[in-house]
Amino acid sequence: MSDGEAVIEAEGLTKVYPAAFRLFGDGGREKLAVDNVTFNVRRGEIFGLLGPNGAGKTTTVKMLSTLLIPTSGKATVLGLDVVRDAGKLRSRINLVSGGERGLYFRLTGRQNLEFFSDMYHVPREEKRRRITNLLEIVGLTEAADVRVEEYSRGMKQRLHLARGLVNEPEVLFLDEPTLGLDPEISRETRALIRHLSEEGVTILLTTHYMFEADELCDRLAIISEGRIKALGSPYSMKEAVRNDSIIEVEARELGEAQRRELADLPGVSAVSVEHLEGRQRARIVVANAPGLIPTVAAMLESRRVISIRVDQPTLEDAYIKLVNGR
Amino acid sequence: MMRNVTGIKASALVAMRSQFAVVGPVLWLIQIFSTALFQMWFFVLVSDFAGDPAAGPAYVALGNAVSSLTYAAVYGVTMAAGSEKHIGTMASILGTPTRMYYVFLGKGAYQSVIGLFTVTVSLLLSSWLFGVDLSGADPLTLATVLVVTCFAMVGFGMVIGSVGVYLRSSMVLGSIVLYLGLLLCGVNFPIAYLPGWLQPASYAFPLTYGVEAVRRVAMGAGLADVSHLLIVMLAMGAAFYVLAYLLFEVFERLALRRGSLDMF
Ligand SMILES: Nc1ncnc2c1ncn2[C@@H]1O[C@H](COP(=O)(O)OP(=O)(O)O)[C@@H](O)[C@H]1O
Ligand SMILES: [Mg+2]
Repeated sequence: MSDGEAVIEAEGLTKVYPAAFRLFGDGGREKLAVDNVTFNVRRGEIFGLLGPNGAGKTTTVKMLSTLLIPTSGKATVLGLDVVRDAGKLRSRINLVSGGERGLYFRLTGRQNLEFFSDMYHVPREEKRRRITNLLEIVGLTEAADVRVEEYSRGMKQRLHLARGLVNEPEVLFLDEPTLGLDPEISRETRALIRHLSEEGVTILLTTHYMFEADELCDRLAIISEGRIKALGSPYSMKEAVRNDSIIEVEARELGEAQRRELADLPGVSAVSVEHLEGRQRARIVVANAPGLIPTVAAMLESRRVISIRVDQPTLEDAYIKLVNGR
Repeated sequence: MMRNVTGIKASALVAMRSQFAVVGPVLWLIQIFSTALFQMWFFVLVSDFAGDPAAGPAYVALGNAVSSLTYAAVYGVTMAAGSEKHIGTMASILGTPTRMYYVFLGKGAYQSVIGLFTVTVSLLLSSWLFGVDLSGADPLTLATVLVVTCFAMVGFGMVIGSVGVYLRSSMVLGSIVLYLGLLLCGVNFPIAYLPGWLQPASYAFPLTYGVEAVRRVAMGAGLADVSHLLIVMLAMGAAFYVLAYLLFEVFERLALRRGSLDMF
């Protein structure tokens, strides 16, 4: 982050997935997945794309890592155009996606790494040294010669990370690197990501966990419905709700209709409803909480309210305000 | 160039390791023998029943022995495309500097070895069990014919497999081709038995020339006598490899546009 040189530059990046071709039945329709997205990532930075499912995070990452051709707009990574110079770029970057796919599960961890090293033309001697080292870093030395089909979910994810490092990428894309991992392994994975960043790798990661973005990222973009809603440091995101307060309501019969009614009240900038066991919890982001409580109480009179209280805004609220709010 | 060779070797190694991770050597041999034997046996019995002197048991046994190449050379290569997509390695490979074409050349090379072994076993069985007379065949000529046939058929498999980079249907295509081969290539009966309008299709399949060449070699033909068939197969093969290269590029491009790499 020191010199501020941009190594990823996306400008007006847009992806419209073409309508599916089908021989029979409705062909499906075009899908605007990423809509005119512009941002830069600086050398050495950990940059986050934070957004709910379907926001367009994976689509953005795939375009930047040469695995998807943008419909319009332009992107360069390390000064190379992601479409025109894809061939040259591929040896200098890597992408790791969350999930279990993308490994040869009948091969051992080491054999997988050997194969992908060959795909990146890593010289033979260097290959051996690098793989030993990577297995050590991700803690798979013991399991190196065990077949991947016998690996746990977390081990596969760590092998994926090692695979993403066989070409010593200058820029590493991580798509939901902790998706579905248990808390312990997630924590280890985040530690590893921080370690890589300290080694000088520029990292762009996607996540839908607010705390993960907060913990890891130097800067982040909040993305929703294909558009960037906010961009800046986690701290500056919190600023978005600094002057707000929260009314938290718990009730037994809160639904989408009530959420919408609440969101339409004057001064309310966002409402989220969380479904708990036998009850719901609504958080209303509003400029003046105490003043609005009587109105809210009256409105929800028939919804079997359990409690109403005023709370301090959290990062979570900032996120909800930036994604859903006005 | 050397880099692509590394890619080809690495991919062949993965194909071999994946296969032998599931089946041990004994089970593998049983698989090869079954592939060689059962289909041949089935059609030999059918031909016995039909009693056509132009397509007797020995004729049918020889045809099926040669066609056993299809399993590895065409079907094996085609299925590989589907399986790479299914387990998600295709996207990881496309992100590397190695082109998918070379990865499939590696698979083709591995399947060639398997195919040539299968066809050798098949021919031996056909002569021990079903009265195919190979005593007049020159071993070197026979080997040359088989290698050239295999070369052309793997090229054919690569053309069909390339579709798998873009669509899920490559496996379906593989199965269709497997059975079309039995129908069109002079395996179980002479091509002249086919309806006139269908006969030209036979000549698009390299197996047709391979079966014909082996029949002649079995009757004592030398290299010079089958050279025209060999040349056709070499030319077809070369055309298939070039076409496959172009198709891999085109389908990769389409897949990158549509985002279909992860659809499996
Ligand atoms: N290959 C595809 N074809 C059509 N639509 C797609 C394809 N991939 C993703 N989408 C759609 O594009 C939108 C964005 O998806 P994605 O980028 O995967 O979001 P995220 O990673 O943030 O969850 C979603 O509505 C998704 O359904
Ligand atoms: Mg995603």
